[in-house]
Amino acid sequence: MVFPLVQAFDENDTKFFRTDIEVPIPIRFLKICGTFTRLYDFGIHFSVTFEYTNLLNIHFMKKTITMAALAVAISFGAVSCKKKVSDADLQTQATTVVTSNPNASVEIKDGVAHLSGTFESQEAKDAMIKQLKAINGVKDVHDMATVAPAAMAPVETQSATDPAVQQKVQDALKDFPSVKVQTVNGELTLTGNVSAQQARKIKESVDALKVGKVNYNYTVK
Amino acid sequence: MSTLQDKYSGVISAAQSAGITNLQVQEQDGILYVSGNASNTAAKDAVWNALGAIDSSYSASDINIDVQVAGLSAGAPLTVATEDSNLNIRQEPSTDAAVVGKASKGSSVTLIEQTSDDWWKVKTDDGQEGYAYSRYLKA
Repeated sequence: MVFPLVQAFDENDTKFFRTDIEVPIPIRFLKICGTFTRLYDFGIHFSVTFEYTNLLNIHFMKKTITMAALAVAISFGAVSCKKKVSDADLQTQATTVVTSNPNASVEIKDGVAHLSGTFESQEAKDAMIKQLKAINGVKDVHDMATVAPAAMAPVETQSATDPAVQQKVQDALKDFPSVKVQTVNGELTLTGNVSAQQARKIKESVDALKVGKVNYNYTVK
Repeated sequence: MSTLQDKYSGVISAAQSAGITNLQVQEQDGILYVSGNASNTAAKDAVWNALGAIDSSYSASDINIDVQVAGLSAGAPLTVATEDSNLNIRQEPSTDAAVVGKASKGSSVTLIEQTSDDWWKVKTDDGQEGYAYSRYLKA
């Protein structure tokens, strides 16, 4: 049978029993794999045995008849015996994770990561919280960060009167001789008769030039 | 969502589902700019088809779609997709430049490089190299 490593300690942190032996003890403190758990002080000496229903649930049963009804059952989400990692070590690992966002920072306090700063999206924030939680030893992530999309750079437009742009407009319209182009007050205006498919072809090419407003004033048949 | 983004939400969602990369949707001076890169012509067409569902005459002035087929590697096969005539292969990337070859509709040419959004350098089956207008090439 495999026992989870559970050890009991007294106030002086002296180990006084292991999970697989039955000992008469004054139970005051119980340390389970580094987690300090205060048990009820019954004020009397009594013995305990550990019964394992499975590796995750440990029942503490008091054997004396008078106290039998007070059997204490403690469930652990998981009995892990991982070594406690110091805040300093966690800080190093957490900082490495957070460097991917220069606008965010993290501080570890008592094994809890406090994340602050700004993120461009909720997804980016959630992803970082997940990464922090994945660090062995981080108990929880306290989210103090905000989401603020970065301002987009303005769309770069070209001048419709630029000769290079005019040439590209000619390239785009070469196969549609019925379409006339005029540049008035810096705006392109297209006129003539086209089919919807031809209008699409022209728009595909002219939109790519990004010359600001274009008046597609042709008659679409 | 702005009114324009609302009006053209079909275009934006088509771009998203077509897997357009670097997709940017931005409103400026009363025009909705939708830009990004498509990995092939079908993805680009999906975006333009979505515009057609909203503006069947393709003559809207309040939307600018700049979705370009990008990132093709040299040697990629391209299909000539002219309306019915032959595709001119030119010496320089301009309709002013001399025509050095032709490729018939439906034939295949090989990409040398995507010189710009509108002109790609290609090689025809008979080995002629030159610039073709990218609007008539399907990747």
